[in-house]
Amino acid sequence: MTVPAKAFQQWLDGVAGTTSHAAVCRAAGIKRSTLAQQLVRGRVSVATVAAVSRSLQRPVVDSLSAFAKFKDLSAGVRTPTPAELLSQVCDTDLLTEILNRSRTADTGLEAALLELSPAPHRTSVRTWLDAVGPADLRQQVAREAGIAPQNLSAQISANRLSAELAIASARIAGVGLANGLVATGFLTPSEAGWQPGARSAALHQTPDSTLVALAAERLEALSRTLRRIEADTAAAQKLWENLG
Amino acid sequence: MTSILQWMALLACVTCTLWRFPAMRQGRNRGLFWAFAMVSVSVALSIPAIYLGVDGLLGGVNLANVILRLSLFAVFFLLASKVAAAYSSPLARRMIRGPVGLAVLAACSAGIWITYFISDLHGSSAGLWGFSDQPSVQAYAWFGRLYPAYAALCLVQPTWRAAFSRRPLLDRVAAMSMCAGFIMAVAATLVQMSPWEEGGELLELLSFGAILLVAAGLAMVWVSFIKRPAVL
Repeated sequence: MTVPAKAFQQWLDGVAGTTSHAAVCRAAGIKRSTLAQQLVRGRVSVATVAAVSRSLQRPVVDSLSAFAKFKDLSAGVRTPTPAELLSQVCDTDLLTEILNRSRTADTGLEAALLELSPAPHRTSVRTWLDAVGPADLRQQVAREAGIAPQNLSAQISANRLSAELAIASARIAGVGLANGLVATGFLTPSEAGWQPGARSAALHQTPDSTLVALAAERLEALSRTLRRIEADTAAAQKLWENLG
Repeated sequence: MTSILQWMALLACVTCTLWRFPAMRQGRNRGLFWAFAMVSVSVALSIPAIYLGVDGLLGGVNLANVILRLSLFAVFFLLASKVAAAYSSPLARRMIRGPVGLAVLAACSAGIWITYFISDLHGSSAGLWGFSDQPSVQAYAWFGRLYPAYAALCLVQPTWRAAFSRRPLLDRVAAMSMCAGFIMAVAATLVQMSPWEEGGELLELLSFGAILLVAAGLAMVWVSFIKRPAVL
């Protein structure tokens, strides 16, 4: 999640020249104290790099590639597979597409092309991992990154994934290295080199059967999540009712 | 050290009682208010300075100690049934409010009265330390410990389970604090029942530590209740 402060300073000198830190922070919309603290600690967060890079109108992927940790990132950019594109379509849009198609089948009227909600959606990390990976992708990622599988699961449940883990997952799965960063919302689809409207086109080209199976999977996962949330709420409610 | 802990426990209990007062007025969880009021009485009566004064008013026959014991029983009964329900443990609730729990409570209360009447207890003595050579007084103390230990033991498992569940951090810390308090309450009884002579200091440390931990756990539950999402 961080790059060394020294490397960041070098990169900043290269791209922003003599611009003061204050001006860089103002343009990037980050607090000056935040950057100062990150520099003092010797670790600058990748979010800072991305914000500065965007404020300077530089491609975020190229900026990140300037750091040793991410040096193969820009070379590893590849167009997303149809499964990846579909994984970044939210549940509601999937279902709306199904409804539109069935309405078209019933009435014969072509429905207007669906305007997709912007990526990422609420379970984008999990759906992306499911879309790219072999069955044991999570175990492989955890082993590779040297973190406990529970920590990885916790991140995925919270729809978060650190930049390093997202890139490591993409590498193991053999897909474009920046694609996971779209799923985490760190990059916009276009920043990762996805064509505009690519998600929409992939959705449109998906056969009905695949679409319905995918929606069923999504609803199944959603029902599991909802059940868990309801159980947690009930437990909290019970606690407050009796001891609150 | 012990007396600081005692006064701290009293302060914590009185604070909790006062904090519960507005909720009691609104009719929410009245049982908790009474439990705290009685726990304050019990803690106050176990502080020698207060005990001697109160018992003097009651005739100097250590009736205050009986009040202390019985109010502690009531506290444990009320609190234990609430905690068992709060952490959704039907088993613990049955063990407290079911026939077994009520039988243990009745037996311990009867034991307290019987041993009180067959003992010779003239002259106030906090904690009955002055009479501890009488076998009936030892039995009295034993009964006084038995029910709280029983109730606390019933609650160790549900609070432990909650402490390692998927609840929010504050709720888990609260459950953990209560669980530690209940374990200490059980440990205090074990120390008292053991033949270890030098246990006095440790015993008081465990007892008041237990009260502090349980009170802290409940306070954390109230904080989480105050911070609860508005939609619930």
